[in-house]
Order: sequence, then structure tokens, then C-alpha cells
Amino acid sequence: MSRVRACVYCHAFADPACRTDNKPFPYNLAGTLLASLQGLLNGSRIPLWEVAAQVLAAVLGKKQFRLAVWEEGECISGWVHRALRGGAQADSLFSLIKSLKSNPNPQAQYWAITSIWQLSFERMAAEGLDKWVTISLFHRSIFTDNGLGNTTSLPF
Amino acid sequence: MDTVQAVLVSINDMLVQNDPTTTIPLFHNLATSEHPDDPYGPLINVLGMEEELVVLASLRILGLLVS
Repeated sequence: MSRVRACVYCHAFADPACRTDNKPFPYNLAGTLLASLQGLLNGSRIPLWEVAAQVLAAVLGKKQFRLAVWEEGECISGWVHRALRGGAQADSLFSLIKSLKSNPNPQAQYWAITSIWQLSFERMAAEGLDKWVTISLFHRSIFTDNGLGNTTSLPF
Repeated sequence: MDTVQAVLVSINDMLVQNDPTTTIPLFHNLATSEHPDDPYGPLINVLGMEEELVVLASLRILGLLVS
């Protein structure tokens, strides 16, 4: 009862406990969804990027998508995966930090960090992320330089 | 194209404006042995359309249903 009452007031993406689909997302469709997100995330249009980032953050709540995103890599290649995994990690990581720091929109930074955080729930991804101690520096620089305290939730 | 937009907006309204604890499970329960991809399949199909509103609306609905 209390759970239902809490859900009445919750944000659309904020309380998955009462809404999560127990069945796995159809595996034959996951690739199309991630490809669509990838296209928007790697694009240059900020409004589209923000919606895609929010949807990515939402689907990363499921283990199935966390593993798929980390394994596939392509979905977030533009800003997370390419930076934290693979060959030229250092340069890409710095470019990630640079892009996050130079991004004038705190919302976009918030969703990017949220996605990184959610990925870290998977041991494999967390170990990949943990190789880069500079991740703490980039968190600190974002929080201190860009005023994430002003971030507001979009009315989903 | 307008029909797709109208349907997506209606679905979004159903999910957002009503109590999500009662509405979203209704969509989840659409999956059957004959249509195992429901409710996600049709929404994934429209991601291939070029119209921006359709893609964004379907992504938004997918985010709500998956999360």
C-alpha cells in the first residue's frame, strides 16, 4: 500500500520498483533501440541528444541493457565508451572531459554522468571505468565548474 | 504519418497523465505467445521513420516502459 502511494507522486523514471517489466526486453529489438540511441547521442543536436541520454539512462536501469551497452560499445561510443575502453583511451577520456566541461547545458552533463554511474553497477564495466582514476577528477571538475546544482528534472 | 504521431501522443498521455502504476503494467501485459514483441515491437519499428517527433516520442515511451 505504501509502495503504491509513493508511486503516485514519483517521477516517471524515478521509481522503477513498481513499474519494471519483469520480462526481458526482446533481444531481437534491443539492437535497433541501441542503434537509434547511438545515432542521436553521437549527433550534434543537443535537444535530441538530451532525449536520447534520458532514455539511455532509463533503460540502463535494466541489467540486460547495462551489459549490452558495455559489450556493444557503439551506443555510447561518442562520449563514454570510446573514452573509457579500447585503444586510445587517454586521449578520448580527455576529450570526454573536455566535452562535458565545455557543454553549456547542465542537463546533458547530468544525464551523461547518470549513465556512467548506472553502467558502473556491472562489475565488468566498473572495472573498466575504475582503470581511470581521473574519473573522479572529471566529476569534481564538472560539479565545481558548471553548477550542476541548478539541474532540474524534465517533466517526463 | 499524422496517424502515427496521434497514436504516439495518445500513448504518452496515457502513460504520463494517469497513475503509472496502473497504466504501465497494462502495456507490459500486451505480450502474448502470438505477439511476444509487444508492446515494444511497434515502437521499435517507428524508430526507422525519418520524422523527428515520431522518433523522439517513441523513444520517450520506450524509456517509460522499459525503466
